[in-house]
Amino acid sequence: MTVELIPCLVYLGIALLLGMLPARFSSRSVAGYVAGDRSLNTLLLYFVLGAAVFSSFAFLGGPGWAYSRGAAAFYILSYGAFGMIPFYFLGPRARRLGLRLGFYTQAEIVGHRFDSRALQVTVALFSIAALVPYLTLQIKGVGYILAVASHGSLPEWEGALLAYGIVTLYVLYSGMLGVSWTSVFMGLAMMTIGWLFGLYLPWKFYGGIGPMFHAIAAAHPDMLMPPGLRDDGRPWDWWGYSSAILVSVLGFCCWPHFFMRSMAAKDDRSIKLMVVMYPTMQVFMVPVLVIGFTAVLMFPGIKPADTVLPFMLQHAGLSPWLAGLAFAGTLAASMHTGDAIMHAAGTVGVRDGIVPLLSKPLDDRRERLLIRVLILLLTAAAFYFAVASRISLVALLLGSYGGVAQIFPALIATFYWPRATAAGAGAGLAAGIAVNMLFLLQPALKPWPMHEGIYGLVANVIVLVVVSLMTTPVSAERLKDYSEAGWD
Amino acid sequence: MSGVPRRHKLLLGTVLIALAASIWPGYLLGDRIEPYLLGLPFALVWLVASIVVVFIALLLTFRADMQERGGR
Repeated sequence: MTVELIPCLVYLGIALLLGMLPARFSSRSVAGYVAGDRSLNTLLLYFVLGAAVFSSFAFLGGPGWAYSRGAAAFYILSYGAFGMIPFYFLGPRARRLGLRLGFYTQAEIVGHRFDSRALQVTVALFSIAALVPYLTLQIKGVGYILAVASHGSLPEWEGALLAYGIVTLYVLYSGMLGVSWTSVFMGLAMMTIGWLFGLYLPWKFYGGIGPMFHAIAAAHPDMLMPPGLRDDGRPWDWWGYSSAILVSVLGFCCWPHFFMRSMAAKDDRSIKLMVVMYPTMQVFMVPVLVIGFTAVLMFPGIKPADTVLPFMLQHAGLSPWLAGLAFAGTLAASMHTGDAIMHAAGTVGVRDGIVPLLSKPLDDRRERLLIRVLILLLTAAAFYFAVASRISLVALLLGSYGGVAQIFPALIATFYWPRATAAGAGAGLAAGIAVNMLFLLQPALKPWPMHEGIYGLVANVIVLVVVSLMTTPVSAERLKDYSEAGWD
Repeated sequence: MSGVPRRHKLLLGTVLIALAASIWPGYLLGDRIEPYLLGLPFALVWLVASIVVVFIALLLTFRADMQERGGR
């Protein structure tokens, strides 16, 4: 038992407690388990959706990018700030539809709007294919952090099992409210720890943030000038930087574990106010990037760059209590995202993957049970990939980012283009994903060095429009729920 | 696109301008290290400023939306 582990264990204990308690406050039904009985207020939504910003990627990848790629890391601030804005309009619409028609997921809405179970099942399968690697990375992050915090005495699989055993317990027991209560605690823990270290580390090594940036500017001015560097250290190009932001902005609110939270919201006001407050989340990211910049001159040559924060915690001569606190913050980052993904993947899998294929509807109790079973199975699969398999998930995850953005045109068409048809949306999605995959695997074929998701989106929109115009429109009867005036 | 209030079009316009300032070519205007502000290089300050602009635009739109709907 190391001193660093003590804050981690205290943190895990609080997470377990906060995760188990709220089960008392939700009904024992699908509505309660999946959407917290549609009761989430602004604060809970803010932190639940904040998981997209504060994930393992942010706490390990963010400083890693700042450390190895300099100003390229600024793109993380941009995409989160802009990516949530479509939700100001889409979120309230989705919420009202969900309430009226009894929906809880993104694929349910898309499937109903286009009158196509095939489209619903496709979106669901695609969602799960994107979510499982995402979850796997979160589990890997936790195993790694606990191994470092215990000075290697806790093997990665044991640490991952401990942390994700706790997450699985409260997600299965409390559902949406468990995810949201813990997210407030985890979000606050991360913000506090991010600020603490973002201010303390530059002060300790350079005497302040200003002197630190001056020193970097003198040694590596190109690091502080966007678009920053590539991962091989050569300058990045504007094409790549700009298009990475655009794809991430469009893909942001299409993530299934995100979009479905509109159906958990209490009212339109709480969704809108959450979107208004969301850019503040990015301001909390600035100190996290500063942590990475601190290491540029002090600890050159750390590889892989993602390990820069844990490396500094071990080698920067910090008190083990302080280091333990930062390790706990990193655990929170991973679990904050991981629990939401597990919960969403199980829900989407059952409601959109299994229920539409059954000949008769499930009763409420069985459906809830099935969702829990699927959550357990998917988490077990992700755990296996994280600790036992050697498949490289990074490529899969990169592919899924560009891939998830391909849902965006269908989502916009769902609400704002009545002429769009199932054939159009399906063909557009297929074309977008195919083009995205092609350029991901064969980057040499790209005409310009833009993110492959952009090419996918262009193909997607063209195919969606052309095929929709060539096929029979969806009946006006079905569209009446989608044809409200205005944007919101 | 009938029935879209003017404030929503204004919000979209502001967001697109702020987004354009965060990528090429708009970011070229802010792409330098000096002057520093609060110890941060100018390019980072520029980006945070674009986020603040978006935040203010959202806040004003939200207030107007709530006034129109009586806080619903």
